[in-house]
Amino acid sequence: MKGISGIIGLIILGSVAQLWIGPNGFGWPADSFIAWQLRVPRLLLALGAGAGLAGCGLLLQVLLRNPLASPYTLGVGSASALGASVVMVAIPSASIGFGAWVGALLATALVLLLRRRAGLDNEALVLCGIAIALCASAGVLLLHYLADRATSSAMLRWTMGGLSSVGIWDGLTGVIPTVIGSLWLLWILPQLNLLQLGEDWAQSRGVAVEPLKASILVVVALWTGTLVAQAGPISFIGLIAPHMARRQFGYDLRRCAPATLGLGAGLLTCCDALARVVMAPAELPVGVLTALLGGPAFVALLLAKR
Amino acid sequence: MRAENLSLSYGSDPVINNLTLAINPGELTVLIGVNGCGKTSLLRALAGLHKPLSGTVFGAAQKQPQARRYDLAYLPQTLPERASLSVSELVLMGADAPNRWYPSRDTKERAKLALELLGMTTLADRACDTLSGGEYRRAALAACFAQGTPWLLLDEPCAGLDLHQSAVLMNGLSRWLKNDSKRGALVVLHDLNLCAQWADRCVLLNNGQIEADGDPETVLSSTALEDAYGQLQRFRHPQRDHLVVLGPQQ
Repeated sequence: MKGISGIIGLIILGSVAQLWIGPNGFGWPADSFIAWQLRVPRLLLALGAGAGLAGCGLLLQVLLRNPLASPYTLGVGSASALGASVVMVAIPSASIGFGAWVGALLATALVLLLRRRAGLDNEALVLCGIAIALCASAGVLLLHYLADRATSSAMLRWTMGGLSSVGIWDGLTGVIPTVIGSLWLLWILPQLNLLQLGEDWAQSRGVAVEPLKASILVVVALWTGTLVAQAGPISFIGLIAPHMARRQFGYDLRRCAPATLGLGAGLLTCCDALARVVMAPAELPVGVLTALLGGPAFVALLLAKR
Repeated sequence: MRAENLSLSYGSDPVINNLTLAINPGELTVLIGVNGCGKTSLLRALAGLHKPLSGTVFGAAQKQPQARRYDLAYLPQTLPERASLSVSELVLMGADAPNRWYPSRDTKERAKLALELLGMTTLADRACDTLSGGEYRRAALAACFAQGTPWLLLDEPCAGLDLHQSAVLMNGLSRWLKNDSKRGALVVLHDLNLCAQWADRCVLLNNGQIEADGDPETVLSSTALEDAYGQLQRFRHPQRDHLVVLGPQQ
């Protein structure tokens, strides 16, 4: 009960801060454009992206049976950065988000193809993801080298992540995939519960393991790709939220998964609100702040476990 | 449940060669053999988890996982990593269809009975990562019982257990079988004395083939046993009426 009220409190705190904090202090904006086209969409995107990244992190941690997995473990983050960078350098008129989305999908398609052709196990999948991430990062560096200074700077800024959004549609692009993905996650939770105990264990209890694993990879790619396209590669939320939820609610995913989604939403909303005030009137990229806070928080969590 | 002309391999390495075996209901069949002789592969094939190179496995293995779970429960050799789930959560998880969020009343009843049979009732609320190795093996076996299937395939359920824990586990298994004559179990054991004490039938596997099959007394006193394990000492227990087998002398 304490844990649930904590998560609800975190979401409310973050939401209130997001809506009321502005460059001129604390308060509900008098201009309805600022309220409804800037702050509300930004809040929606923060809630959706936070819950979504946390949900994807949990799915990959269960799928790969690896507590260090995050939505970017299979190279999705770096591939989407490469996609976005290619668009910025080669097709400036095209949407950066679309480039990032295509990059994320291509990375996952490659992982799926390798898994199917070579019959890769979980460890090999992670190594494969690392290889894809390294190649994509090298591609981004090459584009930095080739691009002019302004484009290079824009590329760098994109990789820091950010939730600036204009218009309600920007906000909904964070919320819609997360609502769909979360409903699917909740639907398969009993099967995921068995999968986290081992593939033989799950299969002998009625789970069609291979189709489930393939569907998780596809859903995570679509879900993460859509969020990264809108918000950039925001780190640590997808890694830390499942760990925090597991610590408070245990390994039973029927409790842990909803808590992970809530924690992800609350953490990113609070981090984004903080990112807007910590260097006001300038805004710190939220991806930088999540990494700055997430690293020490993760170590503290691990030490507390012992 | 039976396998006919079954051959299994890992890549190009053959493990089981043209083996035929039928498991009967009402019997506790124990599979023995030295390490690497193909016991686990055979069990996994019967559970539908290892695709045969040739031959056929009849029974539950022919069904899809969703349907198979109602026919057989499988206890793998390597148990799931011990999570901070409670024993009752572990036992209930998978005791019902895998798309059910909460277990039915019947399932809860089955789980309660399974815990009782294995003497785990008092530990039902304990977290699995605080249990001893023996207690955790009993919890995992209770999860198999709770599945409510007629067939059990158990891969080394007594691995790493002391004499007392092994006896508690085998006693629970024997009681589970006796509760319903339609139930049958195939159990891999390394302890030949547990086999002598509890098995209704013993199957000796050597180099991927059945070397001896019959009542434990016959199999454990056969020369085939020495072909597989080397020189053994055997004598009859003075009070209990079963064979005692001691390991090979170096």
